[in-house]
Amino acid sequence: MIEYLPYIFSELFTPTGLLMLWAGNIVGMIFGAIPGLNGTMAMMLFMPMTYAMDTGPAVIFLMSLWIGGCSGGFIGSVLLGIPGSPASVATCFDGHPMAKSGKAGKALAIGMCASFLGTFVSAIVGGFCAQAVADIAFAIGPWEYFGLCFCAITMVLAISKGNMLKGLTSACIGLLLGSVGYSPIDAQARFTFNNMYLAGGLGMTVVLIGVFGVSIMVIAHAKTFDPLPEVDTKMIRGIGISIKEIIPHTWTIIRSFIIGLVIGFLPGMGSGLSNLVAYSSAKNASKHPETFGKGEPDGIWAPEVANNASIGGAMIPMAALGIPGDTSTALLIGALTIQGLEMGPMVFRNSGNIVYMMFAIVAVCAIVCFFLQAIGMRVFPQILKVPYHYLYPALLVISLLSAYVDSSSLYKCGMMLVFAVVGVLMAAGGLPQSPLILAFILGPTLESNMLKAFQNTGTVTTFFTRPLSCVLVVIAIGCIFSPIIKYLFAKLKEKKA
Amino acid sequence: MKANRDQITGVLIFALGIFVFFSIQGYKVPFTAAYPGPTALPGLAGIGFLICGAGIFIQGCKKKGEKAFLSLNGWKRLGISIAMLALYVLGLTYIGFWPSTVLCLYAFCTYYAQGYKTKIWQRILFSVVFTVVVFLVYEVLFGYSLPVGAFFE
Repeated sequence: MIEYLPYIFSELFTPTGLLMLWAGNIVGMIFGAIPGLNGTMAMMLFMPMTYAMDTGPAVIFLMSLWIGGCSGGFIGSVLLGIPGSPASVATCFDGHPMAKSGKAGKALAIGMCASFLGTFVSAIVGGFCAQAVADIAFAIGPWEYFGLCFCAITMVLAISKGNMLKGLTSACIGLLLGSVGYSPIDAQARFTFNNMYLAGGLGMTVVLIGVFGVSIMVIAHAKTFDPLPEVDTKMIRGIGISIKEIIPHTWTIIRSFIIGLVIGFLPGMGSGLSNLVAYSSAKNASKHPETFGKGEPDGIWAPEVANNASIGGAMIPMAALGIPGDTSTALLIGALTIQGLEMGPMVFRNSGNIVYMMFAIVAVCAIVCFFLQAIGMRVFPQILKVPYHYLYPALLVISLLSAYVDSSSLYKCGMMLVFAVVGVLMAAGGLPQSPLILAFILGPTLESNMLKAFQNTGTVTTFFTRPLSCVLVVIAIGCIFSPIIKYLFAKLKEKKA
Repeated sequence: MKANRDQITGVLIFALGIFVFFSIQGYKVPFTAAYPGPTALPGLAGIGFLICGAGIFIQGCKKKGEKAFLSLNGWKRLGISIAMLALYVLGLTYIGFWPSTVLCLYAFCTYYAQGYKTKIWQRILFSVVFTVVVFLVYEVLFGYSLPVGAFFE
């Protein structure tokens, strides 16, 4: 790992590298802070710009957008009581009450410190663990990869709260969209309708920005922009926290860090879940659970440490196995593939410098975000006041131009509009978007590994005779049938009672 | 009886499943137990659509009362936004990046600012300045060529 340090320094600490790092963090933080936008959307919108960059600056920019977006999420949660992103939902529960009680500075400071600790330490842990996971990954074949992809998609379904069928539908749409174009191995044209633009597949930018970006913005306008509540900037004084005030929360920090890291590591899950799990575990472990929801500091420490610790956790399977831990890492895998970097165990041998640079970027971004948040605390309310009637037109134009520069074809812009309509219809039908993203990105990997496995053995039983593959496939099937299993268990309990 | 959103979604998803099954018939590599071939992935999605479509429809039948996704006015606003974007794509195709982007930004700003106090010069300034910034970033900084427009080629 140490042998890559000169490369990391030569990429990261150049004028271009630093510009990308700071610009990415600032833009990501703004996207993270504004309700309705998030770091993942920032990555989607700016990804086509990185195609023209060298690998180093492109990776630095994309990772900075991601980390900035994750770190900035707590700003909206604390100051407005509206989460900037799904990763900061639990932060609202205590962050906003604390801010309303006149301690906005302290609430922001806790969010800042928690984000820094979660991101920085998880990057270090991730950097050390990824190689070990990659070494294990050399022993696994297409059966296990199929199992991992299958697991990643179905685990997202398991957390589609109360709406498993809709989650599954969304995942199936992702698989269907992922299968457009020529099939792997057999080169069969599928759903191309003799259209040359569809022969090469739909393209990540067109589908994801259309479904996930444009549709969200036009729906937000259709629902009318609710005026955001006013924030009293006089409430924010100084950094607002001392080391003495952090020490009593050490156990909450450690527990939440472990929760975040583990949930981030699990394929398909991420910060959206970890912040809620960490919050409820902090509440359960507290001697004064009644103080939660009324501005309890542990209620901010727990979700913020956990959602940021998920970053390092999600990067381990991303780098070592090529399997995304969440939607942001799914996007990163796609963007890196365009840059010629195929994530997976071989990447440590072929491009180890880039992989370790990614972990280093996360650690440096944590410091940059902390610094930016510390000096910009008083500017946060202004960020939240950016008028939507300027912001959304700008983002819509960037979205369409992204589709154009992605393919140099205006046909793709039209296609993006079609997917925006698909996104609107999905939202109207209550279909979640995360399963679509994961299934769309993982679909081709899932299919090619499945076909390779069949080519090797010619039977479906090998998925169950290889131990790891069997475990993964069984977990995946268990996730699909989890509502039925839960229902049966509940019935059994009722009978016993 | 008026169908609710889940019922409509269920029917549409089920229909999509049927369409997928019809579309994957006749692929040159047939589906067999020894090698599922190119029909496997879309076929899996198709089965998912049929099961989920039916399930969502049944869920919808059990549902009583629901909040509308958008008001009629909301659907109108959404339709206008999509139509404006479609016009922008047409503009890019025929008159190119510069005029279409300035016009599109101004139109969107004006439309989205309904109910807010904004001045015309602010919206014009924003439209022009943002177009210049986009040009500088995409074309000058990253070297992408932006559409010139069929009329000016």
